[in-house]
Amino acid sequence: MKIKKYKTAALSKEIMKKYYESTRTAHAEGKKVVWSTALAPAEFFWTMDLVPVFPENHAATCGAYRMTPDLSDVAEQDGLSRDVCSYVRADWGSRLTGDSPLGGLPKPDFVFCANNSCQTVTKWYEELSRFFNVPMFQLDTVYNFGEVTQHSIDYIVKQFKELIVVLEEVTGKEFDMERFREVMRISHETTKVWNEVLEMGRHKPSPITLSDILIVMGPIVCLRGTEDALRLFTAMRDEAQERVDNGIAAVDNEKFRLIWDNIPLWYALRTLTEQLMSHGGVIVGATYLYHWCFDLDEDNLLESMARAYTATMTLNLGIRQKSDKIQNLLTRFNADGLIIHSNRSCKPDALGSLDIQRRIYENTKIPSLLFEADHTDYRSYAEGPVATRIEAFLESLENSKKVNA
Amino acid sequence: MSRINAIINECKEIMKNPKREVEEWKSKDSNRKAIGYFPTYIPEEIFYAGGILPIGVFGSSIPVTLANSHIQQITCSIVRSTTELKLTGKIDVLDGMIFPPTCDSAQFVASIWDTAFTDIYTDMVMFPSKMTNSSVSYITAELQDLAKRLEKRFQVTITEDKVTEAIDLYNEYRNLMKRFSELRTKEGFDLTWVDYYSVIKAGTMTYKKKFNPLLAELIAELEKKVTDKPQDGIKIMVVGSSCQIPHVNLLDKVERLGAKVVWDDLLHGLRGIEVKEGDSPYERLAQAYVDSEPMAYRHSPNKKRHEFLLEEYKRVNTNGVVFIIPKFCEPELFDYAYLKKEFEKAGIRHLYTDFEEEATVAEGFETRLQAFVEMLEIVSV
Repeated sequence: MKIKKYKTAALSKEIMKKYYESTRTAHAEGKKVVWSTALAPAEFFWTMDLVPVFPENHAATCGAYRMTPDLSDVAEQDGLSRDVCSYVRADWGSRLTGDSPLGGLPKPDFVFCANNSCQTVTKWYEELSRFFNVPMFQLDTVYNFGEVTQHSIDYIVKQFKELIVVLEEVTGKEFDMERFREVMRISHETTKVWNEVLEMGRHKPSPITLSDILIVMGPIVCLRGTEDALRLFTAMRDEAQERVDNGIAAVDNEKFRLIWDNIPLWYALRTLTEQLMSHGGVIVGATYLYHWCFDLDEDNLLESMARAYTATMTLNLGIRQKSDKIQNLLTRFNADGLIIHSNRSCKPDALGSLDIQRRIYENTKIPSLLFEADHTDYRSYAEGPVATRIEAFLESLENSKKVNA
Repeated sequence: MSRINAIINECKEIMKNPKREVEEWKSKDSNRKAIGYFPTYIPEEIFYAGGILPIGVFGSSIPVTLANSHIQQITCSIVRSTTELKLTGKIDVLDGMIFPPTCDSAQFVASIWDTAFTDIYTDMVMFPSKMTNSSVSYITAELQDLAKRLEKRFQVTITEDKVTEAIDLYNEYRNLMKRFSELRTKEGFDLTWVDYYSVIKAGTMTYKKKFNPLLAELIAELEKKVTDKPQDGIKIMVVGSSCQIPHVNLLDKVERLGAKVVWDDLLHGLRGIEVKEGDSPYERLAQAYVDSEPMAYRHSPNKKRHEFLLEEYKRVNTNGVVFIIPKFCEPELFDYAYLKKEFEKAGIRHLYTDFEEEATVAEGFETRLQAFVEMLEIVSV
């Protein structure tokens, strides 16, 4: 069974191509380049006319082109362990060799990391700062073991203000609050439309599956806060709605509605989707995609940004909150099962999954499948055995459906 | 038996039976509590001020089986074996467990405990990742909040005066530890690594009012034996095991080959924080935290870790560096890739091995170590 491609995918490709070109011409146009983590408040950069580049997006692309093992070998030769996140190993190898599916990234003038995704990025960006000999700013968002505390919000807001001063030094420009408000307005609107795209999976049958969204998602990371991203996701939402209106489902004879947890397998998007499709399975929603749904209060910008960026969908949160959010997703999407990718490269996303599985089953009786792999290093993905386990999982879902019917 | 041997034996007893220490401490007042803490650093003074004794729980060499149903095997053995200790009832004498945000694994194992083990108190003290003065007001607020959480949970009162008193007691402990660790660089210091390690570890496993006098006496005895001259022979600096004292056998091997470990990067013993004078005890602790020397798992924008290590390398006049890094320890694995280059630039020879607590010492390490020590002997003639 083949994936029914979205027309909007071509628009996304075009926008991303234009974006990567603009990063390469940035220096010639007198602009400064900042390398940034994927869950950073990039709106600050757009406001200051800095061109942000996202190594995680680049590393995911290296993974999709199955380049990670070769790049990783180079990194390992340079002293980096294979037990470190494969995004970093791919970036490391790419920096040293210049090998890249995107023609490489322009050198940064400044590097920025927000540790809301993991502590790995702090170590990664320390290396980038050393490697390129450029200044670094770390936005320390503090792990939310329990409820988000007011003193941690105050700490983050304080750092936003420090960041503004640093950005003024880097660019030699003054921070324009009006421009910032406008960028934030677009960004907020974009994340709302992005959220609407994701919620399309709640339709039964679903007009959309995980890989459809992954293929177009680049701009939510790289261009959030620009009109291009807003235009793209509006088109995607409308196309999905059109499919609903015309009764077109992502998978004919939808049988199993599944939720995906953790970063996708960038090198196996198509094969995995088609394997599920052949059994009537469709991934209708994924925790990963919700990391870019930021809830903002435009009247209280900095504080609401601090709240939005310190606790994304499932990252930087304790397991209770994380589990509750996954459970909410499962019920909201009327899902039959949960697939958990225990990602060797992402401890914050993977750890706690065993307890989450039990909690969710106790509360909802929704079963889950957990398998180990890696988001970009396909050597850690046992394709055959995982396929067998997925088949067995779907069979058991079918049986329990019969029992409950 | 000499006094030195007697004290070391006492430390070994403490190490073997921390439960006895906790019971002894609790027996003096029925309101007393005890709590375990995960590496590397927690503000012990705040707990102590509330009559809660913090005891270090830094993994174990027991085989990990039960913990596998909570934690995938992508974390270091310290995280997994500490959880195994809880699941096998070996730390039931403790009323709770406190975790600092040492790394992603530590944060999530704390949360796993909080979710899975509802019979005890589990909490985190959320230190920032960034070691700058601008984090001080945040830490101060977090420490005050921690005191309130403890007061509520354990029905105790934690006054600023009590915290200040505790700081004095812990400052005494930290100063003694530092003096003890520094003795290693001096001629005449002849404790084996295993003995040295027993003292450091015992210090984390009993109450300071008992331990400080023991350590003070040990130092006084050792000071009679050492001279002002540096140790002779091959001297090794150990880098890269901030959380846990590495497998005893690993360092034992270093010494069996005739070399001496005179400096280590462990965050126990030599590298305690320094709490300076000030008004609010919470602010003093917060300032001490951001002022501590760079380490793998914190971001220190103002001082680089290699600068600190190179300064220490020169100061203690060492011949080579052995990196001993726990498997899956991402912060240390990152720093290794960078530190090795900095050491090479400075002409410093180094050797690398990783380890897992439950595993035997990496095969081949002994041969490599032997070759390394022999090489150091040749080049340092």
